[in-house]
Amino acid sequence: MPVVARLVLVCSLLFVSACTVASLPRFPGAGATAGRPGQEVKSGQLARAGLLLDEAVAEATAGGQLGAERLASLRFVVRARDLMTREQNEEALDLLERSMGLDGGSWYTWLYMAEAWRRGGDPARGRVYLEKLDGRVPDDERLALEIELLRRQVYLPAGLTGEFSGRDG
Amino acid sequence: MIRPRWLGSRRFFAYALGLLLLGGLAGGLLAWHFYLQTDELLTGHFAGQRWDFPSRIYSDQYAVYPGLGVDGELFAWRLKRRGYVEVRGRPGARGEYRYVAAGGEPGQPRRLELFLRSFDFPGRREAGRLLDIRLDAGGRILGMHEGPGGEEIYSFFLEPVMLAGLHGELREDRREMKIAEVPAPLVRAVVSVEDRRFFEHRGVDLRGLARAFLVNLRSGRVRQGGSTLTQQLMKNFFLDSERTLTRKAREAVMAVMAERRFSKLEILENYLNEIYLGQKGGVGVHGMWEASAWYFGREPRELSLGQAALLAGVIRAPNYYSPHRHPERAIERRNVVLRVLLDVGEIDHRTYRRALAEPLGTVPPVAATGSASHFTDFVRNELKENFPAEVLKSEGYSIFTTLDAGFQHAAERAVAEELDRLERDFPTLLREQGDRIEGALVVLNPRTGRILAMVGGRDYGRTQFNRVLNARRQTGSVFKPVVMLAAVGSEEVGRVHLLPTSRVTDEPFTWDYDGKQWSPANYSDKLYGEVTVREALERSINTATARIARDVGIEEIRDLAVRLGVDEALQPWPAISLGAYEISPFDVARVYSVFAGGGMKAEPLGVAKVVDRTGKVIEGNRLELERVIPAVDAYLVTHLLEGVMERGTGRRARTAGFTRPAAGKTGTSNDYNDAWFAGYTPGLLAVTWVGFDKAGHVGLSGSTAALPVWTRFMKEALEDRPPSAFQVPAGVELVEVDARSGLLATVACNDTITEAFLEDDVPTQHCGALSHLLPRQTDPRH
Repeated sequence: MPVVARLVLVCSLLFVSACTVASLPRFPGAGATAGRPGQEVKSGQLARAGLLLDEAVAEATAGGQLGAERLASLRFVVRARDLMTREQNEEALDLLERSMGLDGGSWYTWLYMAEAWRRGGDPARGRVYLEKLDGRVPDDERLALEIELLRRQVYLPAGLTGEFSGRDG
Repeated sequence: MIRPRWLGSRRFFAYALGLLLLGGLAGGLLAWHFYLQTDELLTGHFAGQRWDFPSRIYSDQYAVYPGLGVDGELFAWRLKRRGYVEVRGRPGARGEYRYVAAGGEPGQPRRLELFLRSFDFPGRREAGRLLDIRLDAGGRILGMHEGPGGEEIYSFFLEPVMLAGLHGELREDRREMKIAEVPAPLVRAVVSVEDRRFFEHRGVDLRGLARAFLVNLRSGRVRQGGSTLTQQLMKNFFLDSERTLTRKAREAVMAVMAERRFSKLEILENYLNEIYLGQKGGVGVHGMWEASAWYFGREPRELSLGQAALLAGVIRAPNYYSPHRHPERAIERRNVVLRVLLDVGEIDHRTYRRALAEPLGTVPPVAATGSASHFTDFVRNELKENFPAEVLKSEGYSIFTTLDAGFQHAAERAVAEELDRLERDFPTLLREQGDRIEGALVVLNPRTGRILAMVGGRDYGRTQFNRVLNARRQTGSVFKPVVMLAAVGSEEVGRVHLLPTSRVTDEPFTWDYDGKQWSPANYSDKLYGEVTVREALERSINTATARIARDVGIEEIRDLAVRLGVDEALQPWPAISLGAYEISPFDVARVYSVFAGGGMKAEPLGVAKVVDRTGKVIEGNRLELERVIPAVDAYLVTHLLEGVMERGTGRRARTAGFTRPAAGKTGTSNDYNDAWFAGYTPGLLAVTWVGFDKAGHVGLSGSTAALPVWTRFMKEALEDRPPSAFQVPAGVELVEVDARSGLLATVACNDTITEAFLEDDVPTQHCGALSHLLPRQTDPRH
């Protein structure tokens, strides 16, 4: 995708996000659409991530190679995502920590952990999880943009404009 | 008859009248003073905090999900410790469970029917509900439903276990309950058996007193007290148990005043929360809520009629009628109460008969104390900063910790029983009294830093010294992975960069530093000539490791160690490369948690949440992560340490039957004073130390003394868990190489090994003649 197109997409995502922020100060993604709780966030800024998460769980449930603990970890992320839509951020963080405890290498957990901290009003604590994402997420353009947007929302409030692409060692 | 003159005088009458008036006035003032004082006492007591509520320290809840084993010994212990009872029929009440053979045959897949208890978690209430859990032949969960044919669920939590209560001087356990929460049968039973006319009298029941008087007169001894509930409450709140007329009179007056001041329901609520109902060890059980939980493992609203009747009956003599200690007496007493309920028309004959047929339904008493004592000390200490001891003893906080009660149980057993075994196998360890071989074990989830178990010594009753936190001992070879990290890591912190396959000379040498000299030596006198970095670690070869440390740079190694979590006081002396520095098992766990956690340092966490009596979280601690070393470097060390388990000084764990993917390192300090083992699986890190408190010669290596404790714990703790492998991070390649040369393996190589390399370090040459014609072999990632 050309650079200009990417820029336009990022800007539009930022605009949509800003509008949602205006209506819901702490939980920009929640309530963007009606329907099942699990779908609400998907239509927010982690829509693609949410879709991939659901696919990963469905695939693993249908007999994929994922181990039991990693599957349980993913399911905790799904529940946490649902809780976030209901503005139960503390409970979501509890589940995400459990998810981390079961599978330390799940990028889904890291991504939603960063999102939960952003929603919880303490984006700085989400940075460490965003940094872990580098090199671990699937090669997906839409997902990359969502992560880039989250990165901006996490780093911009702290004035850390030069750290959008913090690298995981 | 002659009357004295003064008797007839007017003056006399005036004096007498005056005295009478004065006396009356004084008496009136005194009575008024007593009234005001009592009134103030009553209103102050009812309006203020009537009781001290002990805070309670809880373990973590236990997450259950498909793939987890639920019919092993440890899971059975987890249920028992929570007061769950196995029943024959379908579980009909919270806290019951049963296993059902699906095909009716032993060895076939089974089902677990589990009726969960209710529990108030911070921010949410877990309602007790029946779960239907399908198991495979190995006892692992295949799927779970809410009740038969209900909605599928993917996880649930067993409620936390209470580890300790933080009591005041009175040592009372009590949970407050509002009158609206008290089930009607319980109210009826208490009122019927203790004070039938409670809702009619005004604090003192003259009819009741007269009846009691007659009964006592007839029997020639005190059989009935005649005290109303209000009088009993006044006695418990303000007076002693002395049987004197003065006390009885004060009790009666106060009861009447209380009834004028407060409603019947307020008085009843206070009574039901105040009353003494038994004993758990040295702690009194007070109030219906606490008694309900203690005897039946239920909340009051879940009590059956028979159980409610029993609690009402127990009031008369809680220890005599204790359903735990005297079940026959308890049944008799319950039946008496049921009869009373029938007689006064509170229940009909059918209900009466049904209640008579009920089993007692008690849960075995589970002492909250006696386990995890070192951990609860640690928690108290952590809380000290924000919560004064008096507050903790009176405010009834729920302190939710990270401890896994099952792991703690396994850890305590591993330490106690393995140290006993060591003493049996090595009688030289038996010293004079008071100087026993000691041990410590700390368990963390390296991904989250949550402390899962902590055993600070083999017998808390004998010594409360917490060796996990406070025993600073030389680590010996447990430190060596830090040296190897500096050598092979991608950051190239040292002066040289080595590969796991790089060859090092294992020969005596002298290291000159700061005008001094140091000559490392191997534990055995054996010298290996030339070894790889991997072999140096796997066999724990001192001379080769020290040589690597010298080449890499001891300053750099020291700085890296501090970054990993060793304290700043660590000096850059050559001997630290072999662990000649004293740190605690807890600090060793911090360092190893970085390797196990993929390079992230998770701050160890013991207290997760402190919640007040209204359910409000007043302190919440969360996972705090920090990137300390690159993920690839952490993996390289893990891969080296996996070799220690497979071929090196840790292989004793394998021969003892521990087969899961694991990485770890033994440690033995100078003169064999301290034995260590630090090791981990992908999700569990445990560090164990064995030695004498007063530095003394253990004479055993880490492999002989400490590793068995670790192995035993790991085997038991992980019996329910599905196995998992270490994940290889991007940037690392696993390559089959020749073990001697480190070149890519070909069919020409006899002795090959799978080695982990940074992408840029992967060898390009093949071993053996004409090897350049052969393709490189690469292992699939696991």
